[in-house]
Amino acid sequence: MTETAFYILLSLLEPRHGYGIIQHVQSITNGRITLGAGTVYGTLKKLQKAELIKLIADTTDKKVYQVTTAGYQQLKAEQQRLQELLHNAEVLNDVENA
Amino acid sequence: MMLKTHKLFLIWQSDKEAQYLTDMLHQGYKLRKARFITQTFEKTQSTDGTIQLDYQTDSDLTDYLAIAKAAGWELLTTYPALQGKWLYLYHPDVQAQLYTDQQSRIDLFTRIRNHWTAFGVLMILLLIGPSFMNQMTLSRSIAPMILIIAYLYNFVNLTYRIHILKNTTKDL
Repeated sequence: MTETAFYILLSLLEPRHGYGIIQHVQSITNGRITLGAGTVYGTLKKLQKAELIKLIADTTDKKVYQVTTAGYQQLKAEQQRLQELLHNAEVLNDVENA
Repeated sequence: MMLKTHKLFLIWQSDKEAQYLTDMLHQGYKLRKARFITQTFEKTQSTDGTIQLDYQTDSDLTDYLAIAKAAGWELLTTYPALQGKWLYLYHPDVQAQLYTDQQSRIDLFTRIRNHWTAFGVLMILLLIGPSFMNQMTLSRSIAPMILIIAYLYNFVNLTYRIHILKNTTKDL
């Protein structure tokens, strides 16, 4: 999963619209990642097509999305993969201490 | 005061076109209209910021512009092309980007390539189909040949851009 897709999915644990996602990701990465509007829109379309997110409200000019069960499972699987990476990277601490 | 310039930017040169329009903006000429080889500018004060080009299909336009506008982009003008529109977007922050990861840039150029290729193939079939039936003469085959070469050239260049993007990911 790309970093963009991961952070968009993670943002959609709560219902959010496109710009809400951009703001949330900016906030939780302390400004490291400002997702572009084109990137967010394209990724939302792909995630929706893969049924990892769903449209939950469609008001006049704002579409609100939220993660689906399948999307949540993907996030959990990615979390496990990341935890494994972190765990295995601990070998670096031993090298530093030696 | 209006200023018109005539510059040809081909489809895969959208970044070069955006850079030209941004340079003009910094010199105080804000884009008002873009058509084929003609760009129309309005004289304003010299302005900071960036102009970027995007291509979206008509069915995506409303939803996309809602996000872009919320993110601070101003739509300067559009140029309709093949069931979609080229969008000329301005952002006051010169660092702002519409596409912030490699994958979505690849997707954009793939979208453009597929659109133009489908249209090109259709045009070529429409031109060549009848010509074959009424025995083509050399003079009558020139226009279709130019068109075929133009679309092939376009296809090859867009494919090359996508290839370059795929090979410049930061990952090892």
